[in-house]
Amino acid sequence: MAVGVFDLFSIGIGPSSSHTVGPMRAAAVFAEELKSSGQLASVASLRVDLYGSLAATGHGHGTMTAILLGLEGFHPELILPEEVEERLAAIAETGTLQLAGSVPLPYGVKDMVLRPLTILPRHTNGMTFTVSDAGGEVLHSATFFSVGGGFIVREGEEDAALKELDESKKELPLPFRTAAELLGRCQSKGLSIGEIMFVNERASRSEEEIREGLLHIYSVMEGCVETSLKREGLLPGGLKVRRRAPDWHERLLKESRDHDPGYREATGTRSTGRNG
Amino acid sequence: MNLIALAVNEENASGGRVVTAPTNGAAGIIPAVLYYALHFAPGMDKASQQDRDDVVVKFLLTAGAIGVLYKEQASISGAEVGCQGEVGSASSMAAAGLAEVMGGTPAQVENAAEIAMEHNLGLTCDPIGGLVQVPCIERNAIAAAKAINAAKMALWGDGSHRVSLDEVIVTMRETGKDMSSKYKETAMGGLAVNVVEC
Repeated sequence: MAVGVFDLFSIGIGPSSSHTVGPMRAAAVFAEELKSSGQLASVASLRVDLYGSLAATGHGHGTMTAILLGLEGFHPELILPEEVEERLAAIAETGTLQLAGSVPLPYGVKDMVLRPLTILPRHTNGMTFTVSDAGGEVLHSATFFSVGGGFIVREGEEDAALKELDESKKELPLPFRTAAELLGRCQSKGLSIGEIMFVNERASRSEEEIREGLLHIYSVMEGCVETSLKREGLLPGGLKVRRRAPDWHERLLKESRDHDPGYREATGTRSTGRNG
Repeated sequence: MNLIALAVNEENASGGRVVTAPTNGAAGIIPAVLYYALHFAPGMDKASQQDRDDVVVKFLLTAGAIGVLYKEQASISGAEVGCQGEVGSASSMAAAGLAEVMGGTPAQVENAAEIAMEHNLGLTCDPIGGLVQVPCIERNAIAAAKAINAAKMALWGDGSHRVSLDEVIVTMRETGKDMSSKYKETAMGGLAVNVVEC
């Protein structure tokens, strides 16, 4: 499909679309394939290889735990923050993963094979999933790349994916690849940039769906801010970075709208933790 | 505006639910600039809910159109082209969205997107400890300010400008290609090695 506004703005979990959302999505796709091919019941062991940047910074980005959740069949746009905590605690406690939600396998973060210095040709964010049966015979193996923004590409399908993208673009009423083409469309149709995008989105959704969808996206953005403002203390990960938004929010609430920002008096409100 | 950018990225760093815009690491910029548009753009104080919804839809569609350009011609992956592809693209998308809802012509909107990206060129991805915290969180607030400034500068012009958005996008891609992998989300260079973790 051509890249649309709902691909660019997708709902997922933090902290990284390429290192959390993409790997989780790839793992979920792999788990679904096992389920639909009927091989799931024969799976006796699992191997996950992470390459390049995923292996180098995966721990800080939650890549490994996101993959565990994906392998259990969870999708980044559907999983709830409570489910994340609950399932990860269960996996850590039992040392067992429920592959595709149904086959228990002894597996955890420490079992993943990290290859930070190996960069696969297509992209640095590579990962390979392999499952074998009780005899050690490989049942299914797949390599995916997380190419940013939560988008994933399967190895060997890069060209097919590009071709499909080109094909689907032909179906758009006002396709564009460059800004020059986009401006050309605006001029010839007498439409704004947003209106051109709207006409293209209309090819796959109703007017109502586009509007509701985008308003929902913004409500998730607002919800994210709200949740964040209720948290306090340091951010997870051991860097001792303190949250500033909740304090600043309180501070702003006390100020009148046209109050001078008063930069000089704003220093040194708290000393625990630090910031970049 | 700073508050919104920080809040979104602190929530992201906490593993919470966020919207990729266009990535998680840069997820605070578009909400912050959109918040600014909804609260501080001329006439918004008298706007109805319908008007406000229209602003959200128009803003996100325009930002999306610019996002398509980055996805098509360059990359939005920090591991591929550095932070310029994440925060740079988001700043550029936000600038375009703001310029559009403030009544900019297509040429002014394109100019806004171009200015915002131009001044994020070369930005590396060197997160300390491989965490999406320092410099990522604060950088979103700074990039949101750049987006607002870029939109204002573009709206004060007539849309004609020397460097086109396409030229900046290609420059971003090539700069990213030339960038050492130390600066592409590997935590092996920059702040990630010069700041002592403890």
